This record gives sequence, C-alpha cells and structure tokens, in this order.
Amino acid sequence: MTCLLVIIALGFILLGVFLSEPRDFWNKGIRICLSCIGIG
Amino acid sequence: MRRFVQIIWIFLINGHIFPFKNKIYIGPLKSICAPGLNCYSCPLATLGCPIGGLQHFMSQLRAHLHYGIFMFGFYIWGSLMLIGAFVGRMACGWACPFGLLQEMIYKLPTPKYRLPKALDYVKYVVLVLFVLILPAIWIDKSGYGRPWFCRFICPAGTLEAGLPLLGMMPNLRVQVGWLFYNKLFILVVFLTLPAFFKRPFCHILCPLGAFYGLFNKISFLRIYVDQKACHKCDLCYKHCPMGIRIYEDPNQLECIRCLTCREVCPYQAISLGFGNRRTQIVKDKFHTADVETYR
Repeated sequence: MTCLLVIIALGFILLGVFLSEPRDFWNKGIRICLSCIGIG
Repeated sequence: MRRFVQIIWIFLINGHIFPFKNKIYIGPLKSICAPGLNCYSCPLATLGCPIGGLQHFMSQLRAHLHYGIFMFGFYIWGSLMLIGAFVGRMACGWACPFGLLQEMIYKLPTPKYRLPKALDYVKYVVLVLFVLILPAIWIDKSGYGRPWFCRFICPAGTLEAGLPLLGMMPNLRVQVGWLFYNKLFILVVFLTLPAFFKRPFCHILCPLGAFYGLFNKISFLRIYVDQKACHKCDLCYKHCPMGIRIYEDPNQLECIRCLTCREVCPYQAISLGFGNRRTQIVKDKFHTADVETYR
C-alpha cells in the first residue's frame, strides 16, 4: 500500500510539473503577500 | 544529533542570508516545498511553504476551472504524500523551525501541564476548513479566494515574515490593522503556551502536522515497541516533546518521530524499522537501580 502511495505521489509531482504548477506558484504566488502575513 | 539536524534544516530552508536585501528571495527554489512550516514571505526563505502553496492553488481553483486550467496543486499534494509515505510525521520533529522554537521555549523553568486530548483534533478542522475549503469556496468578485490559514491564523508567518518585514520596510507600518493585531495575538499566545505545554501549536493548530500524521501508520519508517521489554516506566513519556506514551501506540498520529523515546529508553524496547526491515533490538544489561533514579 505504501509503495502504491509513493507511485501516486510521484505521479502527482510529475503531473504538477507537466501542468507547470511550480512555475505558476513561483510566478504568481511568490511575492510579499501582505494579506497572507496579516498586513494590509 | 536532532538539534543539529533541526538547525541545519533551518539554514537549508532559510538560506537567503547572503546578500541580505530588503526583499524576499524570488527564484525557482521557491516552487519547491519545504518539509516543515516555513513562511515563503520570510526574507530569509529559499523554499516555499507547502501549506501556503496548497492555499494558493485552492484559492484560484474556481477561476482556473472557469478558464479551463486544471491546476489542483498536484505537485504539492505529491510532495507531501511522498514525505509522508517515507517518514510520516518525522519532518515535524527534525525539520520544522517553529517546532524547534517551541521546544526551546518549553525548556524555561515554568510549571508544566498537559493539553486536553480533544484539542488534538482541532488541527484537522483547520486543515480541512482553513487550508482547503474556505480558500476554494469564499471567492471575491474576480473569482479568487484568499489564503485563510495564512491570513487569519499562522503564527509562523507573523514571526518569520510579518514582523521582519515591518522592521525592514517602515512604509508598510501604515497598513497595519486589526488583521495584523489578530495574528500578533495568536503569535503571542503560541509563544507563551510552549512555556507550559509541549509543542501546543503542533498539537492544536498545525495543518501540516495533521496531514503528515495521517501517514504515520502506513509510512515506510515505522517505530516498534517490544512490549515484553517495555516496563512502562514512562521515561519516554517524560522526555517526549509531544507528551505521548509511545508504548500505547508506536505509530500514533501525534508522534513526530523525533526518536527521543528510543534514546532515553533504558530497556531498549523501542526500535526503528524501514519497510519490512526492522533494526535489531540489542538488549544490553541494565541496572534496575539506574532506572529507578530516572523515574
């Protein structure tokens, strides 16, 4: 079962990379998010 | 050994020290999930926070679906599942800066108490409600939600990002309002409670610990207790940073796999295994008198 979980996890990571999720997070999510830290 | 690893992880996750500039690090490393709770808005942070990342994708889920974009934060789910599948909640015990801070505060010479068991379940509500559901369903006119956990709760974000950024950028201070004071209050509470309780934030509020804990019973890394060798002397309980009795359930949800119990057990009843392999329990001779002094 744990092996299956690892395979699913790796599949998710590859799928996320294929869908350019890290780039989306990097481009849009990574900034000083003032509301995230309770300012503004 | 664990302290050393915890400090190494702090520097690995927060490696943006040189050159120290008045802005946060923006680069490809930020798309990689840190194993512990570490705010991505921290001026020192080099990796992203997985809980912040999950909220990022959940908050734009409906807008993305509207435009036919299918991003559910797969790589963050995958990263968390991968860590969980291999080591369970071990990242909390070895790689979380906020966990280390709470352990340091607990060393203060104050009266010590135990948290009610019922509070352990609050963090699952926080995970489901504040990290997954509210960011996805509570959207503004533009169709985007907000990171509810980061915005209203996360004391790590206030400590690692809010306060340093206010110190570094005086122009931000005019924007401080009730939201910040609310978070500051939560931070003060969770910097005070660890003086009296063991890792209260991990017990009560941490959504990352809640997620990792779900994998404790099925992860490759397992803890075994030889019930025949265990004398239930509670020395492990006394030293456990989470205040649990490991012999009751070696892979319980609250265990952060810090292995302190294994170090202090005079009977060497606690062992570690990976997959189906299990480390040999070496039964050394011990002196009962020594054990008595530990009680």
